[in-house]
Amino acid sequence: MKKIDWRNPVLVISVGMVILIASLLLTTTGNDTLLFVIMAFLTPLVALLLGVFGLQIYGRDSGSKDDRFNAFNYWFAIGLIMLSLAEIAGVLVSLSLNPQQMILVIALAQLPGLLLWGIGIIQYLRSLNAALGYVKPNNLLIGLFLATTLSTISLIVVIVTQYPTIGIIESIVLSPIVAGLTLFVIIVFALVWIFRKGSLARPLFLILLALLLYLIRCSLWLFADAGLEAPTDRVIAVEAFILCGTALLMARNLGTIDT
Amino acid sequence: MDINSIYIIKRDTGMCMYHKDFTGTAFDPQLLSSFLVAMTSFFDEATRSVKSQARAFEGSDYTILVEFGEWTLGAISTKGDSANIRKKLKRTIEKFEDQFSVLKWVDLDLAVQTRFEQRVIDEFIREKIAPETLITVKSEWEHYTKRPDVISFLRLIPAICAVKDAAEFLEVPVEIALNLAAEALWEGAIQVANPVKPDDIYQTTALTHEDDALVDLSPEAARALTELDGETPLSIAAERVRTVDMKRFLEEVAFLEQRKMVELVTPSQAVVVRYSSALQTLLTNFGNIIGFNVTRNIFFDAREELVDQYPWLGFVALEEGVDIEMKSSLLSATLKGTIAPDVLDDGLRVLMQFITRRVRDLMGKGPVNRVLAHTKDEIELRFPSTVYQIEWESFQV
Repeated sequence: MKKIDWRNPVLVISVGMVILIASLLLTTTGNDTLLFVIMAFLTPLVALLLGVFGLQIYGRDSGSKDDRFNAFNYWFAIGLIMLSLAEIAGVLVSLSLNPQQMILVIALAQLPGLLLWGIGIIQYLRSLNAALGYVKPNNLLIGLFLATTLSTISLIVVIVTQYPTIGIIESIVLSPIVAGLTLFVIIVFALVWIFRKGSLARPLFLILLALLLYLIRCSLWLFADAGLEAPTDRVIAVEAFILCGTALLMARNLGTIDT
Repeated sequence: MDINSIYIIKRDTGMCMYHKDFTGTAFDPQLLSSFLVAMTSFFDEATRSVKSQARAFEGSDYTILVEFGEWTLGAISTKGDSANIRKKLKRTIEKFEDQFSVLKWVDLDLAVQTRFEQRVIDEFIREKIAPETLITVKSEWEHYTKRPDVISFLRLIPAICAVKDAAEFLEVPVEIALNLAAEALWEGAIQVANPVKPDDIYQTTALTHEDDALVDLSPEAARALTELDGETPLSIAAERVRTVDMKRFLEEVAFLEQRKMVELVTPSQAVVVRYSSALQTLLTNFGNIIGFNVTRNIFFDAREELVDQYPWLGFVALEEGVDIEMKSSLLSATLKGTIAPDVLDDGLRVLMQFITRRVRDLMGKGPVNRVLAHTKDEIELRFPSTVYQIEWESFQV
């Protein structure tokens, strides 16, 4: 009987809790600058470490290139690494550019990482659909494409009409990210709901929370005035990365019998 | 199943209490019973064994299988030894001892031949008849049978028809038509032929490899031969040769069967092929959801739990990913029929049950049952008639 390794997920969650508590303390005591500096280093570091760890687990031979669950976790791990690079770029860019330019550059830098997450989610959804037979495969792809396109266009229209202070370029760059993240949240929520009575739901739930936090972060960039400069921005990011990394570690324990 | 004749013999007296000849090549019952009792006593004496040891006697083109009851001995003359035939013989002996237990103590005329024949029909004849079976009524069938219900049946139905068509024609339930056809076959008044079905599994015979084997064969038939490997149902073989007319493809296979170039696989092999397809599809579907590594772990854990009870499960393994591999030892045992089909059915069914129970803990009931339904639909495409021989309801969680 294989032993479940609970230490790593518990350790990562504990680190997340400590960061959250420390951030709250620093914010409430007025040490925003200190928090900003700490998070500028910590956020990319956490994402990079968890991404590399995830890559070590899922980058090894899974036995088959058709193992979509392994691929799902693998893409999330690579996505974490890409997002860590985006966070580093974000820190450097925030030192030299004005806020508007900063948001655009950071958002574009985040895109590769988020796209990789998206690839993992869509691939897994397709293979799940093949096994469960809910929807015809072609209809699924068409549905996803239409949902993304229509929601992006709708969001741009809403922003232009209801939030005229937001620049048109900002809305064009950030709307697809927000729409895409919203779609990912809906998809993963559906997965959690389908598997709610099984242990597979646990890592998926953590992924859902991670995506939700990231969606909140990106929405704040779009709608809040000081979204990117707020000290909470990187706290949200690091918590999202920690939840993602914990999910990757929990997924490794699936199917092992507790001894 | 090629049974020539069956005998039930009282062990202590060597008297043949029941016999039936199916092919007109039977031995003299009393001669055979004396021989068998003498030989079994010889083997028991020679080996000083309390339990009777003799199991089979081989002739040039027949084998006499022997099974022992409490006070009787059953013998079947057949083409070859198989666990399936032995199981049937064992069951027949048990039913005989149960029905005519008084004959253990006294020799009485209990009209054994007529009173026991229904049991033998149910055990050996009934399985040859299915609703799609073609009945050919012999030209002078009236001379073969005296049973009033069989006479009524044969008088009314067309000379050549399927059992289900006969039932429809006579407006009787199919089950009644099946039983009447079995009795008519028992009496020798009809001949039966089971049409080739898309989920039948055929394998080539030694005749295929002869030099002139492919002469006079159509290109389609020759292509079909390459796909009949004893593991592929005809529906899949037809897809592989890209046939557009399934009916014609089945006729080609029937033609090959008539020329004895192909033969149906043993019932054991058919069970293994059917179950391995179902298990493969199920594992692939589960692997697509929970990952191949987890699925492999679950499979090997389930197998480990069951291997004590079903040792042959040790020869069912996984290659790369979740690809099922049946080791050659198991395949050759199924080819020879040394493992009975119901033993294989039981073991593989329990293995699948174990796997679904474990996966339920990971996925929850709903998704597992949905995967099962989806798997059944996929298997039904390959085995349209025999998919329900797998007990899908028992896998539901």
